[in-house]
Amino acid sequence: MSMIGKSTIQNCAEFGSSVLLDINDGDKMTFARLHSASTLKVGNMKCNLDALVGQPYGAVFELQSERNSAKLVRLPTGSGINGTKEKQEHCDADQNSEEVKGRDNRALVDDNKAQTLSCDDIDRMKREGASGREIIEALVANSASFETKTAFSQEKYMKKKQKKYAPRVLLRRPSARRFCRMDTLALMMSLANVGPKSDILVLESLGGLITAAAAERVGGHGSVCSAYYTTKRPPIDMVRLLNLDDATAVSVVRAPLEKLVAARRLALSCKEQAPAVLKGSEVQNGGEVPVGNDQALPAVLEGQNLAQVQNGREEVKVSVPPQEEAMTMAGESVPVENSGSHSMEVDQEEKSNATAVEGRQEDGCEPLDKEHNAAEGEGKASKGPRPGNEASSSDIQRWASQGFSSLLVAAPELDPWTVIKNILPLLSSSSPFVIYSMYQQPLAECMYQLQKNNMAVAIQLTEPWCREYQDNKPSLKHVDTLLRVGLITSRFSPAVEIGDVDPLQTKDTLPIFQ
Amino acid sequence: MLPLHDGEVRRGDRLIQDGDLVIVYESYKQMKAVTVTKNGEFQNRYGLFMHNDWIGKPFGCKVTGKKGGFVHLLAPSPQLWTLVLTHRTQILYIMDISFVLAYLEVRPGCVVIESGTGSGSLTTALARAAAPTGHVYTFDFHEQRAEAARKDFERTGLSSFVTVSVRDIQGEGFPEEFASEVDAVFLDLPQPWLAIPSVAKSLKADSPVCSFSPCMEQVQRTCEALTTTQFRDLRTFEVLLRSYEVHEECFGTDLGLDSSNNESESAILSESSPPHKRLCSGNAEVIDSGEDRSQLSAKDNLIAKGSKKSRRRGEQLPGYVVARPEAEAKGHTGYLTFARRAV
Repeated sequence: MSMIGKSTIQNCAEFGSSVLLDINDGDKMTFARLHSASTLKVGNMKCNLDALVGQPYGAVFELQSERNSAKLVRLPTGSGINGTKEKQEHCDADQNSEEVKGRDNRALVDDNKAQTLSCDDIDRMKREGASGREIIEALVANSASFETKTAFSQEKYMKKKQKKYAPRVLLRRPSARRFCRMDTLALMMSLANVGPKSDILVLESLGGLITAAAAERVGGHGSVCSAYYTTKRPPIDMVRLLNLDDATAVSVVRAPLEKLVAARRLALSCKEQAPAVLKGSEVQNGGEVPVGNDQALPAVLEGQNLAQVQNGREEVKVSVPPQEEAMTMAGESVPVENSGSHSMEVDQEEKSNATAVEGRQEDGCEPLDKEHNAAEGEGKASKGPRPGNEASSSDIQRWASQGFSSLLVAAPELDPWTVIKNILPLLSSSSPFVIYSMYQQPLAECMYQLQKNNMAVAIQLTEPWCREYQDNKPSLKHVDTLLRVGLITSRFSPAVEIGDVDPLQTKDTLPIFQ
Repeated sequence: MLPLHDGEVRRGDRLIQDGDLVIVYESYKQMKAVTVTKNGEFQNRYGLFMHNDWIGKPFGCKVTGKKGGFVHLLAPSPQLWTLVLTHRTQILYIMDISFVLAYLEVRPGCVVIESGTGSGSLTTALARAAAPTGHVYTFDFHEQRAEAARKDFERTGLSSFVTVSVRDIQGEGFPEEFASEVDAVFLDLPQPWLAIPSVAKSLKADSPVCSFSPCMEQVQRTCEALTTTQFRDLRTFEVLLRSYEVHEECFGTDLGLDSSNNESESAILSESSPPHKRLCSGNAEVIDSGEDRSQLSAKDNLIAKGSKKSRRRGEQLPGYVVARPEAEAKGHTGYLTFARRAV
């Protein structure tokens, strides 16, 4: 049998791209951008990221100090990120020998006197250009207690010194899999059937987490619309961390919810009135609007109070920006702009402010430092289109006439039922939707309403759990009792709901499919 | 399953046509995959359904049978397919599938290899994720099952993106031509450690492998095989999904205590009692606890219901929506072990 197609996935870090730096085997993970001025600081050492450009993902580098600065040096293939080779050199070769087995820490006195090298000694060595490795060797040689330690303990000692004097940096590809709560994110992607040839609608307030994950899955073969309901667009910076190729970047757009809903209402009502409209549309050209829709128009533009933000917060209105084109398609038309509408405040391009999603440093949960920490003096951003531009009129028209293929909601500040009630009509028939919340009750109530109103089928309220096992050493197995997800960590009881859009009667006055 | 061929754009308003696969939905536990044919018939406990009535309708529509009962016709997706496919082997479900897809970073353009194919549950999801520019090569040593899987991929419209081959991966490893060409590997074998050397050869640098095993002993042996300089980032997980059922419940307040006591009690308590209790005392006033939830309209309905109930002896709080874990929780499926090909 033969391979039909070769992989198109690129595996090297290009200049200007975003990378994920894994420092000291997961101790710290940080996103960075490879510019000429980008720098990285680990402990007291600071270096630039030149050495990473053009290198393959998975390459390991060591931060080696030299005089007054430091540089990243690529280590040969096969070097473990935590210095496996060095470990083996220094630690007792035969870990099973009787002598080694018999060791324990009964004689160990922790009085800080075991190490005879002083801080000044070490500083002097550094100034004289000693490498990290040489310093570590000197420390081992001058440690009175090293020989008495168990192999395990020696290894631990070596690791600790390694991390301090010769930190390792592993170059990783940035991907949504690195984001926090990737198990919940993964479940959302699958439940909502996010993939190529889809038009995904996202409503989130998580800094672009959901949008980014969806963009990666769609891969440019479709569209991802990150909708917003406030005048100032919330940031979706996380999307820019993913190194999306041009086609994918361009497919990620934003649109005000108000506009999407208005366009959809109009499109659906046109479909309903199709026979009447078709007659009228024969004579029209350019900007004329068929009779039937004139009435619909003011009704649609008024009362756009979709953002029913709860708890007495101000209702936020989003104005509809002027339409550039007035396209006419068979049976449908686009409203020509009401002269009374206000122009939209065009949001300034967001600053590159990677928001910290989680403060913890556990594996699988990478804190996003502000890009400036790792990449100071960021010059011109990477070339190519940026994700997150405003959706074009043709996009909005297409979504309005056909509906989105999936909906992802992750806006914990909003009431799920309000969101769904208003947004569900934006989906095409038989499309899945997923709502994320860390609170169960609002989702339960939303689910109840959906069931009661027969608005969807196959609705479920589910909670993903994930547990990791520490199994690095087959002979030593620890079950990690930390349940990452679930009711134990009170901060997180994520519940996810799915459903398929069922075009049955809704209480709204939207036309229905039959 | 979706118009995944090059150049074909998704049409959200596409109607059901002769030859389409639909998922006939009666309830979450009762779903069936049906290929629509002209003059075809579908029968269930609600009666006879004529396929001709289905053709030309939109996906998601509700259709009635001759006897008057109804079903919904849903568009197929990997998630629904997993629930309706014919089990020839034990299959993976959405929680494991979604975790594997995300952890292996499967996206359009990826070349993925898998063994064994089994019933094609995961394979369907992999193909849908890697399309239209990627490809899934799946291997099973059982000829009939491989053939059944091929037929399934034809039916779901994914056959351009999946190649099923008969091969004993444990014994022979993956074909030579895959060397350093593969973006992700998935193993669901009884003795996956035997395939690890071949996996190491097939994977591109820094690309992941996942092995699924129900038993911890299998996991241990697989981890031993993965503890070489060819791999890094060895991690093992277990993922589970817990479902909740939701309904409306009423809670009683009548404890059979002295009524006069009750009055004075409630007079004292009325200031501090929760919104529900205020309603219960006969006021149909708006809940003024500061909430502005649209559930209010729902609650109004529920209040009406509740007050009927409270005409019985004693008061009852109007119902509110509650969620509790489903009685039958899904059990352990297996452990997922991941590793990454070192550079």
